Amino acid sequence: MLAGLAFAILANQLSPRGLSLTRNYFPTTSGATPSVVRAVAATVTNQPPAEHLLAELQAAGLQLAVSNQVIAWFADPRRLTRHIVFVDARNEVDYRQGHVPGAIFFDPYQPEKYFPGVMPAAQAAERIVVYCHGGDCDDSLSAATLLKEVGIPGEKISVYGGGFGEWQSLGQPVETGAQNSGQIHKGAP
Amino acid sequence: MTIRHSRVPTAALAARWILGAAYVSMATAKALHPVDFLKLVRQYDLFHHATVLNVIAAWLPWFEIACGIFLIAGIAVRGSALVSLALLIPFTAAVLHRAFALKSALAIPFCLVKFDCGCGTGEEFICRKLVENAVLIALSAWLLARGARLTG
Repeated sequence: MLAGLAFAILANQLSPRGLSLTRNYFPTTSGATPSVVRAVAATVTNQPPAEHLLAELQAAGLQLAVSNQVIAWFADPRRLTRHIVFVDARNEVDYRQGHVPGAIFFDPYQPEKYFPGVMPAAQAAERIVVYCHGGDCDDSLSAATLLKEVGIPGEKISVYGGGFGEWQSLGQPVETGAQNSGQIHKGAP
Repeated sequence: MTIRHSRVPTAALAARWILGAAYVSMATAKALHPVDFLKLVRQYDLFHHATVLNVIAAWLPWFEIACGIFLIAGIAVRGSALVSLALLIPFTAAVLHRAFALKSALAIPFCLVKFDCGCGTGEEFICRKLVENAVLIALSAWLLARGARLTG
């Protein structure tokens, strides 16, 4: 058993994907666990899934954005001048398969790696729209909380509750590959 | 000079290899994607302290891989079988608890409940998962009961 434990400790230390034992990977202020059961129950009872998210966002001093707002921000010319930025908090594979055009990739589980890419844009922006998959996904909340923790004002950070799933279902444009790759497709409604 | 032939019973060897291979294959997926595993561990709502969650997600898959390798190699079989039981029984109880919660939330028959239990095999129907775990528990218990004789 001790040999197995020693192996486990060493392997996690040496693995490039190893976890830090001391970091809080879910830096939400309420400490509530985003349970799948809770999300499913909300769906079954027709309770708006955004309600829980709204409560968590309010507790964290962040904003909730709904699809109409997000679509309007995307169409706003200020997005092209980087006054409005989109931040994708999903994993890298999903990001490359499709993201909101121009969105910056920010993995909240490896913030030290992605802060350099997101911070200059976040500091300069008037509005930051953070999203993940939507539904029971709370990586956008984690990412938004991390941004707030490093000094980005919470008033300008909006979490898109519907997430990329809703974005696609609304037929909004999707960019594949790297940021600003130019490979824009129409989302599938 | 006495030559002592060590004969490992085929059934015991098969049990060790099946159990060991199951641990190595399932745990490798978790070890390679620790963040995904961390999220799944968190969904059980059993542990809330960040360090506890991190320790489970960071160490458990590698610990399971070590356990699997020991079983395949025939090293410390009794100890590995005991550890296997100590891992499988509470884990199966946790899976069962969550499955009942999902069943109530969805109002569907128990065996139609399907979710990713963090076992390294993706989404699975609960009844299938319980059968799999029952087999692994039985193999572990059998290896433990047979004890040192299996190591040859």
